[in-house]
Amino acid sequence: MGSRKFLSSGRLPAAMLTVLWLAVTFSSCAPQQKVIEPEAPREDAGQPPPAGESVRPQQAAARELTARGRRQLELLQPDAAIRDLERALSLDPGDGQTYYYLAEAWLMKIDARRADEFNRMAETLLKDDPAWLLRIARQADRIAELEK
Amino acid sequence: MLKKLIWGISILLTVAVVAAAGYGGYLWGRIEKRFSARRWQVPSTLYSDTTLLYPGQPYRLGLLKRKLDRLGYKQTKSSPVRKGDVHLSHFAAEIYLRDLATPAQNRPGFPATIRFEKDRIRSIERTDQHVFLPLLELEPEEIGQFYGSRWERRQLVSIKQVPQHLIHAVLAAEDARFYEHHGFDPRGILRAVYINVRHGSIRQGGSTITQQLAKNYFLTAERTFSRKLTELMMALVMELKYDKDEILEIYLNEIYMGQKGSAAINGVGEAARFYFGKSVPDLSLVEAALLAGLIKSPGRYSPFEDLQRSRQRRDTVLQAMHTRNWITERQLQRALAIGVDVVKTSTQDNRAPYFMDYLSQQLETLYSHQNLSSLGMSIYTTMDTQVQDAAEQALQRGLARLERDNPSLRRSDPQQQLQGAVVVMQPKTGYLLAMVGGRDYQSSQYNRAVQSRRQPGSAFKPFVYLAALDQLTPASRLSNLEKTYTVNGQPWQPQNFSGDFEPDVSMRTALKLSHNRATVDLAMQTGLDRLVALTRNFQFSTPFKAYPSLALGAFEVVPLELARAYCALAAEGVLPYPLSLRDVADENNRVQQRTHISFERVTTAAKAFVVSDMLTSVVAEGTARSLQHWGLYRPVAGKTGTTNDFRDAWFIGYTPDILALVWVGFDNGDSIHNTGSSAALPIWAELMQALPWYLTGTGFRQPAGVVVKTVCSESGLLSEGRKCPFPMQEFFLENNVPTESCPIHPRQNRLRRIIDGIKEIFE
Repeated sequence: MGSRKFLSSGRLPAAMLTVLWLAVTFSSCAPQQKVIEPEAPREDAGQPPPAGESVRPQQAAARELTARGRRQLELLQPDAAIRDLERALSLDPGDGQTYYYLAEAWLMKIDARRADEFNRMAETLLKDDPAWLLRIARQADRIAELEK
Repeated sequence: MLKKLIWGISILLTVAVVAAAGYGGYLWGRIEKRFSARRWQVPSTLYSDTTLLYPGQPYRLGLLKRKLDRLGYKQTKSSPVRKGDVHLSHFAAEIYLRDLATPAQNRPGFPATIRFEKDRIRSIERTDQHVFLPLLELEPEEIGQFYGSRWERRQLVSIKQVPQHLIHAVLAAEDARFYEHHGFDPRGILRAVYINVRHGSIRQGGSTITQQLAKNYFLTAERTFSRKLTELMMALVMELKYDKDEILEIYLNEIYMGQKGSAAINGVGEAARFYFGKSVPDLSLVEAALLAGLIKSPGRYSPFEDLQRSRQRRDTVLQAMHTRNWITERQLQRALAIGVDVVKTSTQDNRAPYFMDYLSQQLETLYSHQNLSSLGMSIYTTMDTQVQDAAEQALQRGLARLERDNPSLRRSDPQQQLQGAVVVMQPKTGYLLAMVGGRDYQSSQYNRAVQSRRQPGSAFKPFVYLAALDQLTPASRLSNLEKTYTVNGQPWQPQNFSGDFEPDVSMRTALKLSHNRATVDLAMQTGLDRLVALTRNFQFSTPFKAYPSLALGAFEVVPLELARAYCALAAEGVLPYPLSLRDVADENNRVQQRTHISFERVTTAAKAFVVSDMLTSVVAEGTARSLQHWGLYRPVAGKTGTTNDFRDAWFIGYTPDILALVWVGFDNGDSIHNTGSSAALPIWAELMQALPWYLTGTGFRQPAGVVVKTVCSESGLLSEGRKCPFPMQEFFLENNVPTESCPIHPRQNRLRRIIDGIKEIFE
């Protein structure tokens, strides 16, 4: 009863309310079936990861290849870029940025269908990164232009 | 009268000369066709994929050693100074890399040190520049070559590569006057006749190397005068047509040198590899003499048949070389003192034969046999030789284990024995890393991975659950009760394998424990037409029909197609095009053909994720939970499959990085008396254990469109605010989340929840 009176009085500090709210939230169902690994944030392909970011060795190696692919794109060598980027995918098939650059390479080769495949995959994999989603959307526009 | 006789003889002689010239011309044409074409034809070579090594990679030093052995690196006792050498210590490999020339790159070789720590690569250092590398690429392995209409491994050698002591050994053994005669050696014949008469038996033949070539490649073994005459004429024509070195080169590459299994060893290149594990330029004098001694009778003088006889024959050749002053007395004495030391290599004629057959079929749509066997192309594949070897070995061992534990599975006829197939793919790229189409290619070339059609049984169920996700959720309750359906006017009653009588189960549990009744109930709720439509998206070649038994995998599928369909579940809903071929390059390494990663979306990433997550439950606590006994705890999704009367056993397991399908069964459909879990799963587990670098521990990422909710495990409805005794978290599609609360359990007292919450904090 005392508790109820205390609650209704509105004198409970905000911090206590937060604790209580958390307790209520987590009290209903205790067992957790699974833990979903969060996607590690990334700066840019080929760049060293930010301090504290855990990068698996395989990812680090794949990033090296992605960076190489990106450099080939800058040199307007889409075929060489595709080789490196496809190789990167074979090491880390979950890297959205590699798909983005593959779409870029196919755009350079004026192949809208393939560019679209990779652009969509990049979108799926980078859904949590607003900056990348913007780039992907712009790329999708360029692909759509090419398709016209 | 005399004049007439002279005329007659003259005419006859003219006719004979013209006939001989005509026959000679005919033989010229045959020889031209057989040898000239062959000499200038360079077979196309098949290569595996290159191997990437990087710091932190789970990779044992022993694995690297095996890889380098296969690539032909030579172990040295100190730091390597030449390309192709390697020095191994306990924790490091010092390698002088060879040049890497592929269509992708042209990298000159350099010295590097790979250091290991606890079965991982610790660092890779380029030692000439003292820089640490993030990545190192090893050359692709040569897998085979195309000869005529088939591919095989053959080590061709140029006469320039053949060491002088091997040439002398062959000449001493077969035709010491080769460079002095013109294809036919009367002195040699007379000597042979003399020796044979003296010994009263056939001790020596009089055929020259050129005659042997003619006999072996154009004629039968019959001993008739006409055949001998033809052989003679052919030898003369060959000598007119080619110079001596050319004839010797053809001979050294074609001569029969013994057997490896059911396949012949032709040529000194292949023989050097088979008997000594060496290439021809590396052969020592005694090894050269032993090989030369084999030519006379490879079976009789084989060191694997009779070591002593083989040594005697070798010593005879060495003596003959000394007699001709081709080796000194000192060389002879040293050589005679050396014992015979052979290293028998695998009897497997060709590596990865089923994979290569599959690849050949694809190549044949691009190139003719003629071009493949003559244009000297380099064909780069997606095959990972380490995965391929592991798959072959796992299948061999798994089938042998099954036969050992179940004597009724043994068959004496190799054609009838227990069979299996393995397909290993990278789900997102579609790269075919390995393919094993059967147990023994020598006894059956039927590629079960791509040519057979088998019922998938429960291995088909994930597609039933996928089709249902628009209407139902993993928490939805399905009826597990006995029901009778009508199929083609006949009653049909699916039974649960385990005899489980729970009246209703969640969708997750039904898949996890592979309940047949609940799955058919699910398919009926979803609609069979919808299920058939979904399978079309997955590009199965099977004409599925809307029967209830479809849900239980009653329609036969091609294993590779099933593996590919599962790839879409592992790869965020996109179906990859299966790739076995990467590049085809011409003799100058210019790209002629390239294949690229390509895929098609067949379902949403969200649905693929939810099904994959349900399939992780199969491994964690369902029909595939025995996988954990193999130490495979990583997030693996998988499904077992067993068909009626135990005719087929399947296991298809995957992570986001790798997928492998295993099938076990008899070709004639006999029962194997085992389930997918007991027959196919152990093979999968053994395969994966051998590939630690593919099991990176990466889980399936939750894509957009998936939410987690807490539900009651009994009702499958929202548990928040309810006194559900077994609440659980479950994944739902964002647009298909249960909105109702659990009706079974009462609402929880708010105050009680607050007090429990506080208690929990302090506990």
